[in-house]
Amino acid sequence: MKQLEFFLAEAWEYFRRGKGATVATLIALTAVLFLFALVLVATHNVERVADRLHTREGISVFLSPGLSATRVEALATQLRGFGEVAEVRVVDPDVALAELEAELGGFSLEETFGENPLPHTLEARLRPEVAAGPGRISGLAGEIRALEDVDDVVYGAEWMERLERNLGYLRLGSLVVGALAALASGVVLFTTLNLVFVGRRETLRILDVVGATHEFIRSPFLLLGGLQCLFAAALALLGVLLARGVLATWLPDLAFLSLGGSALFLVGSFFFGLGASYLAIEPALRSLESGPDELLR
Amino acid sequence: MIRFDQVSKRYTGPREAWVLQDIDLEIEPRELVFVLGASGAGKSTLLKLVTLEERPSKGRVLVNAHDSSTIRGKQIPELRRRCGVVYQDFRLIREKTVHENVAYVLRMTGVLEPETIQSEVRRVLTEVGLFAKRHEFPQNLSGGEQQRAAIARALVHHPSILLADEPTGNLDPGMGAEVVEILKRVNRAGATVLVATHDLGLAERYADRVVQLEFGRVRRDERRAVRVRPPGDEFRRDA
Repeated sequence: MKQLEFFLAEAWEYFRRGKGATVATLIALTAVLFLFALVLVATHNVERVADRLHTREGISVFLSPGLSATRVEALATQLRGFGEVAEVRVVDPDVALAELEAELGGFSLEETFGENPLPHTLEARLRPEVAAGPGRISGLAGEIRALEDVDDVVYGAEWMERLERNLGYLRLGSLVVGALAALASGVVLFTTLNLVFVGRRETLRILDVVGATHEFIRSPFLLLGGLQCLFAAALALLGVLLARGVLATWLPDLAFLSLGGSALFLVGSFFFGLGASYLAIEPALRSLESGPDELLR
Repeated sequence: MIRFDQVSKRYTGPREAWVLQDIDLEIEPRELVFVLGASGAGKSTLLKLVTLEERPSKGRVLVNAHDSSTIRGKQIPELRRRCGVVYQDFRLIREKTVHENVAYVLRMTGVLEPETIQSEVRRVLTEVGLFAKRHEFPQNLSGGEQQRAAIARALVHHPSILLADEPTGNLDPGMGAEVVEILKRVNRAGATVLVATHDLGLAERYADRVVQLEFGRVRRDERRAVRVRPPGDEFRRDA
């Protein structure tokens, strides 16, 4: 624990001494991680919408006009008999009209057409395992369409398929952005840590000569890189949170990363920083011992 | 014990040259040896071979149980911790105080208790007469004080071997004598001390043994009778 305290103090010293470079690094890392966090949040939100649509996936069955309430109820019962159907709601034409007119901002369809143009509709909610397979929905829709007094069957399978495909692209995009963010962060860390290393080369050379192990010399650099990434990740999340606050006016349902996701982002950034710093510092560390040092000869 | 077995060292590159050739040398524990020679004679390289800052091109160097021909990279820090090294240009860490410079080596060797660090640093700084200046930064000290700080750093972890590369090179004669007196006292306390110098007078005055190098070869290896120190030649202590 005391050793860790000492290394943390040394890392802070390195940060303080190379203030210009390390602050610039922090800003660059924050910008990169902010972009990555934005993409993650976007993907997370699209996934949420897709999940919600999956659970809401259903079939709208438009019945022929002028059917009696008994016939409508009979068709609803028939629909409930399908194993794929979880629930059936009968939408009365008057209720459907009121809902539609409300969506149209109070525009009166009944006055325009002289009568309610909407037929009875049966809204069938499907079981989740059926909803997850667009192929099964289209089969079911065909069966329902064949029933007597059914005018049309509408379902969003094609749209869902497109959403699924786009979601796949978005996930792939997140991975690509993540990889690019990692690469950019790695380059930034590599450059800065090497600058810090060069600035302290003489000191580190002395430490090497008096018997410091590579672990001892390396540790403050690893902590510096890890903590810079952690701090940058925290700032990036804060930035995304603020951006969400601004966007909430237009997109009130926009979700932030889950608590677990945020923690993973922070911890992942810290360990990425450690790893990248290790890769950055290792060649420099080896250079301490390679070949005669003109200064010391 | 330090032993050089047929050791040669050749630097490659644009200044390719044999700086040491066929060195056979055995240094017993607790010896005070002055390695004498002109610039380029190979003195510094000889010292660096002890800590394996340089590896022999031929032959092998034995330092206690460590053999340069078989030692693994991970064992080198352990070997170096058994040695203390003092340089002509002091090589103190500029951004750390005298206390911090010395404490750094202790922390490096795994001493982490603040009380132990405090007492050890106090002990060694008192020993070299620099305790009063423990909070000063190196650049605020005179050359002699900086060298004493460097010696304190080299001694704080109780090394069995002390290597001093031209320790008086940047000091005036008075300060140089002070520094060599400290080295001599360290030797009397039980450490093997190797001092590389081009100063014949210094070697003649203080050495128990003089090894003279010329063009990378041992020209003279002379053990001298132990002399009684002249009266009034005590160390100055300011703490």
